[in-house]
Amino acid sequence: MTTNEHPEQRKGSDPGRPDDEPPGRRPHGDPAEQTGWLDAETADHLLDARPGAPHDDERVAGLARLLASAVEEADSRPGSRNTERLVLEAFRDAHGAGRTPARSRHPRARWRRASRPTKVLVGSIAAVSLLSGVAIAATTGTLPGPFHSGRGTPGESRSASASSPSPRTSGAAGAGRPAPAPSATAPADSGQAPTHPATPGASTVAQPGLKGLCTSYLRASRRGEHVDSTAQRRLDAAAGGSADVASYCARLTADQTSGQTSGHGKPATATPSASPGTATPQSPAPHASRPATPAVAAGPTTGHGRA
Amino acid sequence: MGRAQGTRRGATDETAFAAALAQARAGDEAAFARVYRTVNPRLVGYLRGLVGNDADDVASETWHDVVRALGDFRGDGPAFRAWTATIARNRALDHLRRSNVRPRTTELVDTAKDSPADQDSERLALESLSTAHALSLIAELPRDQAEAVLLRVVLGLDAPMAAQVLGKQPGAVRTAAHRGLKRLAERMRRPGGTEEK
Repeated sequence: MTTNEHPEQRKGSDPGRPDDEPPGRRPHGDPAEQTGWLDAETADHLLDARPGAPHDDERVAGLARLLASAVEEADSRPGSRNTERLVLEAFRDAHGAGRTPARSRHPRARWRRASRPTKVLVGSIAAVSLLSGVAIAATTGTLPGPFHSGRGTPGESRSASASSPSPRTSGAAGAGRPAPAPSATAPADSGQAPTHPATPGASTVAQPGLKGLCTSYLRASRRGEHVDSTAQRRLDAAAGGSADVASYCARLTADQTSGQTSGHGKPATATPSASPGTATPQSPAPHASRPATPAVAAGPTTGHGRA
Repeated sequence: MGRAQGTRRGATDETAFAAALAQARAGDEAAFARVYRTVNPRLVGYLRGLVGNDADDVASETWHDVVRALGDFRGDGPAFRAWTATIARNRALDHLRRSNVRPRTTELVDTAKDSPADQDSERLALESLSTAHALSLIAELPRDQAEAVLLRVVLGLDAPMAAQVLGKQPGAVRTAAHRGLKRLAERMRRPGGTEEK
């Protein structure tokens, strides 16, 4: 694949690199002679970082130190705070179930995000019951009372709409539970989501994750911040221009919201049926199971960590 | 072989990580944050071998996928690292296709701030070799070798898991990793036969 890319070709990028030596200055011309001490077994030991690795050879010990340093170097570079926050927010969106604060926050947030038709619908119900309250009051002659209950209706229907998603959150025990919210909206995305190596040609795979990116984008722009450049590029491409990203994302996430709120209209059926019915929850799964399943299968044999 | 993870990360680390992972899957954000902070630096380290300086961005994309699919994940700590590495790899390949660049054409050593100035002595250079540049040295190997070594060493995957991530036969991955180590060994050698300090 890229084996023609010799490190030497890239040397120019880093003048300060210490090993920047012309090959001719090497003491031995024959690489095999130089690394003859590094047999397959020793290499495997180094790669495994096995404690019993024969480090008595200074050259092996040096290589072992180099590898250990690489791990340390990786660990010493924590990602940016901003990226971490966006990732955690994405987690919260997808798995907010277990968190009480998130849960108490969500119904209201949903209401706020509820699409106009839903608000109109709820309002209409309120108005109708208000009017019928008036009518009843008029017929029964107890005007003030019904008015009260009538006024209470919007609140009730509101809390009803708020409570209908809450079983989702409260019943978090099921593993599939947290999924419906994002998954109900993600089908197009995650269908091809993390793109198998098997389908390298498909560049339509720009799709996956767009919803999540949009969520992050909208949240960031609300704060006057920006998403990282890769995310921005993908959104630009998806929206057909950076000017259209905001509206594109609004639409994409609105689909999600209306999809959820329609669940209120047809109580409960929409959301639960979404999980087994659509291919969505499964769609990440094949991908997920690919590394996971063999890994699990490998578990007993290799017994990492568990044994 | 399975002991590999236990040695580089410590058995207790691995146990704690598995616990955090389980909590995260149950929706515990604090636990997920621990998982993220543990795995992300290593994931970025691996991605540097694929996409150079875009590693952080690609890792960020990866985590958005991970978050969405976490409910479907089954497995332990090493399996989780392999799983995220697979997603990251796919993301990286997407990224390379999208940006239509040859792999890793960007300048890899963005730790230049840590690198000794040109006029500094070789002593400093040798010291830096063992610290700031170790990851870059590996990342700059030919890509198949870089990937194999990074998966095995930085993400702590055993050979079969690394092969799984790469979609190759374990033997091929083993060969690539060995070649990578040999090349590293060659590059470590100093003119006077001095080894990395």
